[in-house]
Amino acid sequence: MSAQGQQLTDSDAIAQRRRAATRQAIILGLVSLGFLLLFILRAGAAGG
Amino acid sequence: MSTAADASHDHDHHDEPAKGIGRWLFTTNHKDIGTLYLWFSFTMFLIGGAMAMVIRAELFQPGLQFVDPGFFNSMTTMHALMMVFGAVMPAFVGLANWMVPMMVGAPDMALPRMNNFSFWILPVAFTILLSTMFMPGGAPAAGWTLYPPLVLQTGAAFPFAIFSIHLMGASSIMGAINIIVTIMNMRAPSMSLLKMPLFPWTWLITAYLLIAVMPVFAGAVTMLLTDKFFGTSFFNAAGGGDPVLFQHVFWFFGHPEVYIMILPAFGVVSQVIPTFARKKLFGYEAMVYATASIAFLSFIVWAHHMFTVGMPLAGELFFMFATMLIAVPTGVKVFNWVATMWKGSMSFETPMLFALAFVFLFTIGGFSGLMLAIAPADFQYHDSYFVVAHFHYVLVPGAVFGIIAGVYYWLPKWTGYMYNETMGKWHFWLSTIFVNVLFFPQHFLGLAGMPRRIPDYSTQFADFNMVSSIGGFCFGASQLLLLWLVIDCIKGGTGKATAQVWEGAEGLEWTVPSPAPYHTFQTPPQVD
Repeated sequence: MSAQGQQLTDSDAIAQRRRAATRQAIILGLVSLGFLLLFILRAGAAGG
Repeated sequence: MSTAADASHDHDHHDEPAKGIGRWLFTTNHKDIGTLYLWFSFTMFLIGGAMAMVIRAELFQPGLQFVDPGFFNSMTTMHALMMVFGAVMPAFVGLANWMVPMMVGAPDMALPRMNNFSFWILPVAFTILLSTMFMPGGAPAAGWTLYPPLVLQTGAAFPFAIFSIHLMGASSIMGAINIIVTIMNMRAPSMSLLKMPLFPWTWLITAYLLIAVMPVFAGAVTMLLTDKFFGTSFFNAAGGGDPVLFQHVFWFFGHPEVYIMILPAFGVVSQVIPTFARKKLFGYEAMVYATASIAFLSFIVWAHHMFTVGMPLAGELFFMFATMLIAVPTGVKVFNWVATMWKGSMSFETPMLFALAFVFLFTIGGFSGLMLAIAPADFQYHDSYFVVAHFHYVLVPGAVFGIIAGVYYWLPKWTGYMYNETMGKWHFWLSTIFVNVLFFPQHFLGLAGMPRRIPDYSTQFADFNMVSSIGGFCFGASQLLLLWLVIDCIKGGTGKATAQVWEGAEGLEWTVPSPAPYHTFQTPPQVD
């Protein structure tokens, strides 16, 4: 494969991996928010 | 470990960084953002250090000399917040930004715009936090633990301090998410997780810790905020709440936070020691599993900070033994570092000296931690200067020396020049001698009964306090050498650095030229 073709393939692969990373980042962000709510609700249930 | 078969780079676009201030404001380059984090961290280190100097100046002699007790309490609180959230954590994020993509063969962080955002939140957060010193009632003064009901007496600064903590938390969570998704998605395809160097490994585990506990802290301070302004009673006994609940929630965050500050230092030391021992890291997989074990255990030990609060005997026993259990994976690590050096061809350049001091002095902090873990003994040590000595041994010759070792180790890769080795050794010896002069006497002060967070004390504590203060001033002054050394190195240091820099260095980051090009590994490297 030509150098140009190789580069295109690499940048496509990177873009694809970045899309996967974005999806995972959203999930991790939601997990993080979930922890926040969980602890506030639990503390509220404890008497607050 | 890993070597690159092909370290060539494609420079198709954005070869050079932008000019002027715009480069730094809008950069999405991991190296630029790493540099920003590191300079920000050093600035906070100096400001937080100046606060420590105020504390040590006041404690130089018994009696009130320089500041009133309220301001003294603000200084202890702000010093801790600045050092924990402004100096140590951003320094490690800076090292991660610079090195993790290069060490795993990624072209950049997975989410570069979020990377820029997570950095630029920080100066805003700390400007707000520092501005509280000029507000009516002064800066927060209830200690970094922010225990209610005391913290609810903070004046106008209270909501600003909470907001700044929220911003720091948001920055940390975004930074952590970025590191996880970078390592999981952007690694060179031929680099399996168990081929990954220890520094990215420790950061991966640290990032999961951050995601789990920073929201808990954010929740805790949000509840403080609603208790103060919106009539809730989460922590107000008069309204059916419980102030001790805050301590549980805080330390559920606070204890893993300790490991957030030390695990990446373990990673740095695990890179430095094999390089200067010219041997592969002993027990690589054991190191990974030990790091993961420490991270897991960090979630089930929080109440050892609260033995004197009162809890069932079964609770005290559980938290005591769970805490002691952490010594096992930590011992594995120390053993492996020593075993790596065993029969190695050792040389003692500055990064290695700091790494060795880390192993010795962090272990002292670990042992005093074991003493504190013994519940009945903790009733004696609790809230004394022994605790101050313990956590400063863990955080200064522990975390901070880990950062400094990493800076010296990778500085030639960043700047393209070698730093001044003679001055580096001076920096090491002055730091190591004076950090012990500063903190070792504090063990004796604590055992003799001196409480922490007091601006005045009984005359029986005078001598050790004076020694500790002298150590503090000299340690603080020695850190200016680091600033000089870094600036000197940027300007050319003692000559050009090679790509490999250190004879025993292995890994992808050493296959690219020094200074590392603005863009690296746009074509994924092959890892053996």
